[in-house]
Amino acid sequence: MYLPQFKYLKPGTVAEAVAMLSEYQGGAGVIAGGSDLIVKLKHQIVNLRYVVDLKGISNLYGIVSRADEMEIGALTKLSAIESSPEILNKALLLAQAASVVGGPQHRSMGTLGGNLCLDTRCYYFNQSKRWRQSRPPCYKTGGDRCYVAAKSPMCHAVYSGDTAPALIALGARVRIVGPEGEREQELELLYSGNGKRPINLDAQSIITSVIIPISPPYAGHAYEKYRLREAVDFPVVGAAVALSFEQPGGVCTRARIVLNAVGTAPSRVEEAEKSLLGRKLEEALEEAAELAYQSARPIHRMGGSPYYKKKLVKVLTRRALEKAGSMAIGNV
Amino acid sequence: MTNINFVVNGIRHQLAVKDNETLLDVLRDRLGLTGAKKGCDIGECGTCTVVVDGEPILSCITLAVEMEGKRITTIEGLAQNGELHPLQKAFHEHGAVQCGFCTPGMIMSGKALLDKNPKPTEQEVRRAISGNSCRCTGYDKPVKAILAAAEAEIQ
Repeated sequence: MYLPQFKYLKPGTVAEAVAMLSEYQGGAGVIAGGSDLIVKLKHQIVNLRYVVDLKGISNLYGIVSRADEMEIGALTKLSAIESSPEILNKALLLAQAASVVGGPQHRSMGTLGGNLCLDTRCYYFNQSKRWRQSRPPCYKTGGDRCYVAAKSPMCHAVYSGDTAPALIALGARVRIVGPEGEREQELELLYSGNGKRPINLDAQSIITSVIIPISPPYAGHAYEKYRLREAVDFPVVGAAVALSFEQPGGVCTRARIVLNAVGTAPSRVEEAEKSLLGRKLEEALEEAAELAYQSARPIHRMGGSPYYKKKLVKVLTRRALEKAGSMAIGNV
Repeated sequence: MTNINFVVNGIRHQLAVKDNETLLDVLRDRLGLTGAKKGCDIGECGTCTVVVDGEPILSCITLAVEMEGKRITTIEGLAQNGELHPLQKAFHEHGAVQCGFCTPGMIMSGKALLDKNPKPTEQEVRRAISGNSCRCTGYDKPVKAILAAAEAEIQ
């Protein structure tokens, strides 16, 4: 498979990159690690006249630790994140999630920003051009229908990046630079929930870094990912959990449960989170897992039957809660 | 076309590459290094794995223009003066090669691992080659071969 023609641009600064993206609006795509974009270009799912490579921008790399938070450059490699002593120490959940992305080669190519901006996936979308040509285009490829849910007015392609649910559970924010300057927002708001255009980021803006608040004491977290093979595969279902307790073995003071690969965006299960607050974990655990199960609305043709995926949601949520609980007590 | 300078297996190359050429196509078609294989061509099977600046990467989904200033090692760069690399020897001796299509990628993943971690555990080896699909060997013999090569290199 050969790549369609495009012009390769390599800006040296963020401002230059934003200027390029503004000038070639719509026709330019951003490349970091390339493991998502190059495949889409090969399948001719996207057509770009320009590819803007961010790897020449030196201040998008690295990890900066401050008293109450940690800032990670968007171009930091996933392989660097899974092995960084600083991240293992202060944001273990992110390291855990990064360590289960793709295979080793994907992690040494892929970047944190790229993983956050991973496009949604679908059986009818991630296929070669020839495969897709056998039927009219769907919403995601510019058409007017969804093959997964025939009567649906929107695209149901599934979001399956692993670092996003972990970072949302940790309450991370992203720094975004666009033509109007720099802004900071909750990572959660980056995801639109529309499978066709899953990332709330205009074509001229780029994510420059991710800011993670340092967890309070007596906190625990876990990311459970189920996939068909132990490597390379995207999750069938994932569940990220971050909990804080009043004291070891005490009541829960903060809870976040984020499901992955069950919908068009990584999604928090707020009812389940609320059910944990002010209670001891072992008392609320089953109820929280059940609420996660009830809230999940997986769709068929997305890596497993809806029934199977829903069951997985319950099992993985329970497992992640148990692990987070025991981590908070200190017997990891 | 963009001019790039890069080092492949210790040899410096200056090459004009098209913006849409992949590293794998440049290695195979322009430099004649057909050791790295084109399998799935979409970054899933791992047989195109080469080592760039010490990291294993998938050359089929890497643009050649990104290689400016990089140091690349392919399977052809392992044997020195007609003498097989310990990894190649171990694969040979352990019968870790059946059809052979995954072998270049598998060995390059092993090489990247041993360069960073000269004494890996079996689990670390299995994890390091988890991005390389093999449909013949069942992974057992490649794992044993990489462990044996680590052993041999230490001695």
